[in-house]
Amino acid sequence: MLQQNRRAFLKNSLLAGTAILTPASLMNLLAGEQNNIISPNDKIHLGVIGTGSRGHRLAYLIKEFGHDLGIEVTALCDVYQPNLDNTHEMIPEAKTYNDYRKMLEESRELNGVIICTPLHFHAQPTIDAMEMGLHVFCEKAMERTLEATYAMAEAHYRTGKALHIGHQRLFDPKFLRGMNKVYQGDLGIVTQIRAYWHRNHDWRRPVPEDQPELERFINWRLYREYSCGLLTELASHHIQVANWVKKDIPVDVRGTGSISFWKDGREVEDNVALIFTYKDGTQFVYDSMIQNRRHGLEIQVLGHKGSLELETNNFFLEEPPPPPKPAGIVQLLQDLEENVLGKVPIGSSSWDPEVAMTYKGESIVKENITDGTWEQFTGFAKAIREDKPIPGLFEEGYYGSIWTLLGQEAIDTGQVVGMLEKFDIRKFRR
Amino acid sequence: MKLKSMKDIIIKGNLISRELKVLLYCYILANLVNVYAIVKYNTDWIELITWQRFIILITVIFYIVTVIIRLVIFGARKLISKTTRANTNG
Repeated sequence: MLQQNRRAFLKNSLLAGTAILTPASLMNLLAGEQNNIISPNDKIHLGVIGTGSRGHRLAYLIKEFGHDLGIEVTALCDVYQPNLDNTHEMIPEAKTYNDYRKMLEESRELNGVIICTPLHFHAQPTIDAMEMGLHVFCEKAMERTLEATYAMAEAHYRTGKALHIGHQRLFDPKFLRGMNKVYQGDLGIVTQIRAYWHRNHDWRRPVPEDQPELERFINWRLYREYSCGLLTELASHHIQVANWVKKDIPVDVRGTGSISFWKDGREVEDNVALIFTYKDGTQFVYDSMIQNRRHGLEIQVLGHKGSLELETNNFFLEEPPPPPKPAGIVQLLQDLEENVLGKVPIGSSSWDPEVAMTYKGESIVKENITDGTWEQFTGFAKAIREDKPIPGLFEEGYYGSIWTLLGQEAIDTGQVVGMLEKFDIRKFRR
Repeated sequence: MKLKSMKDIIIKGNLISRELKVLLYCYILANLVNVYAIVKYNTDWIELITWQRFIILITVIFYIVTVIIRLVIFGARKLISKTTRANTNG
């Protein structure tokens, strides 16, 4: 994956000021003046708690590209030694721990931590880290239960420390530009958002043959005690995007799901379908499955004037512009051919230039070379240097997670489910 | 080919000069056709410049047509002249 430097990221993303977390406000914040508590010349030290697949990947990105932002990993923690060793081999200078509490107590140089533990173990290390004065980047979704998710939010507001949730589309240039098109009215009135995420894979990770007892530990994504499977691991991204489009949260969700193919003892569904409804009647329709990958993933934002296909970087107008007229001399010769020579009986006009009749839309961004994973750290680094969260950013992650869990509740109960007032965090807005 | 006399140089020079004039007239005609097309189909005047490669192609086609026509005329004249001489001598 190619990485953009900060200047290129800002150039490719986009602009005009508005309130709350809009793409413009996010980009203006990143481009604007910085009130740094930590000097740009000083390195930011990060610890990674959970060095499995995702944690290893993020640690790798920081090692390779962290010099641009002045960030580095100085501590690693994992209860599973093979994972810890694997990442330590990549960053040998980092200190290693098996207990995150020991890491937080001993690694006093840390300015922040990155949490990539299994979902059910996000809350405790996040809250502990924030209470010790550290900023936290926590992978999505926030937690396994509504209560634990809310507890993280409460700690975030209480401590004032940044809590970034790993929704990288918030920093993906095509999503940022796409949202600007939505807010500027290029799509007209958006009444439906559709998303799907299809894979063809059992989602299993290899378990050492001599340690079968590690099945639930390693394949935690397949068991309800630790994860909601397709919803928390995949759907949460698109639920966050749908809320971002509407600048609102749904009023309710209904859904269904089942284990229809991978009947291997897993407890989470292998195909799900949900409908979220917003107060203006907009529907967000979502499905996910892991037994067919023909259509891959996409999120479509559909308005009466235009459509976005954000994952594939496409924008379509309902009324496409007319194709450009051919040059006068070409039209003259075409008329001569038709009127004087008549139609050639075999085949079509020999040199009639083909005018594209299929409207292929236009690209949202010219260079689609990043998915925002690295760019998230632009925001995290800024929050750490200024010792304050980016306004509006946390709420995107929070409501994305809450409505993911409510979607699971809708599937489990067969009921239409809404959000209880106790999980509404607007009361924390100052 | 060895030239026989000065007369050959002048004749060759006249031939080239004449053909260049024909080519120039063809080029002017092709541009006039382009002007006509721009006016008729209400396209941009910049096409006078941007479509020059195509105009040159049309110029060559016009020139080839004039060569064919002139060859036919020349051939017809020669045939008529031969027939007339034959009738006179006969």
